[in-house]
Amino acid sequence: MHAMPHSGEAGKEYNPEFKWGKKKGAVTNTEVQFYESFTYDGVEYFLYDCVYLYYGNESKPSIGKLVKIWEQSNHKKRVKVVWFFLPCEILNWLGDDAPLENEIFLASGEGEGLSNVNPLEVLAGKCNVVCTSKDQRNLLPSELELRMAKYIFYRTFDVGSLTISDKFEDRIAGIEGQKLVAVPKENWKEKTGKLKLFSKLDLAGRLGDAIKDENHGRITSPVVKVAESKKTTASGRDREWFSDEILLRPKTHFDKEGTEAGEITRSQIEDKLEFIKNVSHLGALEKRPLKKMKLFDDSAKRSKELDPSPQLALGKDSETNAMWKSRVGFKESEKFSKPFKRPPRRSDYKAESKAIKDFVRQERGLSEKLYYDDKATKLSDKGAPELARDKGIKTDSQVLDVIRGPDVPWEERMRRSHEQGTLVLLENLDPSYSSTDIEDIVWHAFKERVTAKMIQRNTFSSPNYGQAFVIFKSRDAAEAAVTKLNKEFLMLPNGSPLVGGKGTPMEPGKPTKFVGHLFIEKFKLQKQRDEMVIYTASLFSRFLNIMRNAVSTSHYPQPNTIEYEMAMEWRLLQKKSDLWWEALHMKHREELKYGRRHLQIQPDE
Amino acid sequence: MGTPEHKEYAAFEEKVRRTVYIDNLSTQVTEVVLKTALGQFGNVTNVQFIPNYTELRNIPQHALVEMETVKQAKSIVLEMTNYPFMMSGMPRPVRGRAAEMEMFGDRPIKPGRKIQCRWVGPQDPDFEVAKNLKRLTRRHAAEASSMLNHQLEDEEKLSKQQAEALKANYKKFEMIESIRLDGTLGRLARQYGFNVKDD
Repeated sequence: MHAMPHSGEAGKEYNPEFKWGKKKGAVTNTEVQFYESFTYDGVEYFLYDCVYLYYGNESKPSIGKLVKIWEQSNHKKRVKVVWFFLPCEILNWLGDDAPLENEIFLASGEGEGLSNVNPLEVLAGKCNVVCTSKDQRNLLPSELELRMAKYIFYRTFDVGSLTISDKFEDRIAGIEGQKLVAVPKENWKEKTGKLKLFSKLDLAGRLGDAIKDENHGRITSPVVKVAESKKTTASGRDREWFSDEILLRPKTHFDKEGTEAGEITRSQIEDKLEFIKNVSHLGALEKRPLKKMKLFDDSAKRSKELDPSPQLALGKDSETNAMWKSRVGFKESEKFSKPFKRPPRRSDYKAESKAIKDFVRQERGLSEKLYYDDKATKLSDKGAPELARDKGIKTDSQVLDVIRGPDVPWEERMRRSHEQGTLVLLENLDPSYSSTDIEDIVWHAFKERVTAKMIQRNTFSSPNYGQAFVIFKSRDAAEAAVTKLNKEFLMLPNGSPLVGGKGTPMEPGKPTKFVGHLFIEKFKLQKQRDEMVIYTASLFSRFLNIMRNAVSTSHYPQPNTIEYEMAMEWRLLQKKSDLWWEALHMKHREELKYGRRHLQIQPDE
Repeated sequence: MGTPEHKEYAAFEEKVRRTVYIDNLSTQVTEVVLKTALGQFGNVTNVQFIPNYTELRNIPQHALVEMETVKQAKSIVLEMTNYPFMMSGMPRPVRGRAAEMEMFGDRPIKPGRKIQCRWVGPQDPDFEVAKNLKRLTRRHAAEASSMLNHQLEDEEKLSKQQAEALKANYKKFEMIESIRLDGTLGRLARQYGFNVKDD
């Protein structure tokens, strides 16, 4: 791991002042001279101080502990740092316990990620890290110190065994544990405000590095090998920095002045466009899903293997008839249900369900299921727990639920009941009610037995309102209920009157258009575009590859591409829309509260 | 309301924690696609597309994906928030969130909850209030749907904008390509004496 000095190579000369402090050891050694302290850029650093270092091209620094400071014979100044890990970097090995808010982990053990030697110039300030370990060698910090501390640590992360422990070894990276743990108090100077300065420099430095990297035209850097050797998900320091960086960006979106924020990000993005990050292990990720996808598709199309888990098999079989393509499924189900449609009698419906009942009783073998296969089938083993209640009408739906997802038969029944006029849409429910709750309510209120289904919450649905479709037994019952609801009011415990109306379910087909996916016409026909020339055109080649491949794969776009930039724009829009919805719902909530305050009998929820 | 229901509810809660709610899915995305894509993060136990019954017409697909462990679900959400993830097309990224109980169509009831409702007739003092509340809810519904329309419009706008930008960029690149192919570029380079790299 090699941290890059952020002092710009883009033509900006930045020479921070430097002065050696106390020497360590005798001055006899001509090659190397160790030191105990030094002053760099106005900040005095001591041995065993915790410092910030800018690693690579990120905007967020790493934290390390200075364990060795020396100057080589060629006047190169070097420091050795033992790293601290942020919890997000070792998520995989944290297990289930959540770390404290400002907790970091000291590296220990043997292996990569323990420590590094870096030129002294990469230091970016001191970091106030306090050790709160109960280890005997540690001086427990005072209240004040704890409060002033930016980070605390009391555990170590062994880079060799990838485990966390709160025991401090005797030696970490060859340094006695004692020195690492207890920090003499005079070294705690105020945290430097230099970081802000450095962020600007960082940009300059990044641009400089970017131009250098551009010439290589490649995204990989030796660092990445580290990441690739580990597991791909959430490991490797460089990757985590990337995530931090990306995190930064959406944060800037949360400005009240939406457009301004948009502009800021544009320029940021343009910066990014110019420099290449070392995240090609993401590229590795990208390749993997590609392979997997192809494999899966092929196998799905080729064979209808009988899978031990019926879910999968049905999923594969009906891949093309999956729920969301239910327009197709719908037609077919119409075909199936045509004989039932003509005489819209419940008896037919019962006959069907009875047949299904018997069928289920026989065998859940897949071969027989193939009979029902042209319909959209999805085995959901939810077990329909709420249907355990004994209500007359329930057994049918329970049986139906077992072989097919509750959605399909529900859809059919809903449609049918809509045609028959027995479908009612109840609104203004507490969204946390379940379908059984609704049925209970209706039973109490109207003395009618019904089947109900809560509408699932999605991104747009308000947290204040829930809706449900209710199928009454007869059209009269439904209409009577609706009129009653309109004349008088059924107050729910949360203080809202139930609103009921004729239910008009929309065809749950897939939406006709999905905006946001782009493609270039030509590439549908184009086969080969090989040689690219000129380094600006190297962007083009990536662009082409992306256009060609991207449509078929699931992947993360590279951050230096147009695709990425556009993705960020979408992200922006998504975040904005999230905010709108939140605001709207909040407003609604307020209005509701206001409206309810006059209720004689106060809601108990 | 005995323990089996409590257990069931607890099991359901656990399932919710293990599930990721994904939206902004294109229509091209099938269950298989979802499974493979999210299979990178761990074991996908179940994929369920949420069907769209109410007024919302052209909103993109959304689905509930159940993973094997809570950690996996959490990591997916984290990844999707930090990196834009594309599925079956681009550049509109999919969005992943931790699932919530209400997102599931068939959830068990909360044990220990008793729902009481009462009728409010015209004589009841709360009648007026109830009427107002009703009107309020209708208004809210209208507001929500108009906001949705607005959002959809915005999305369309953005997509058009991007399409334009893309076309423009493509034209530029095509132009560059063409002058390279027909040798103009090479000649110019030689004329001015700088190197044109073959990448």
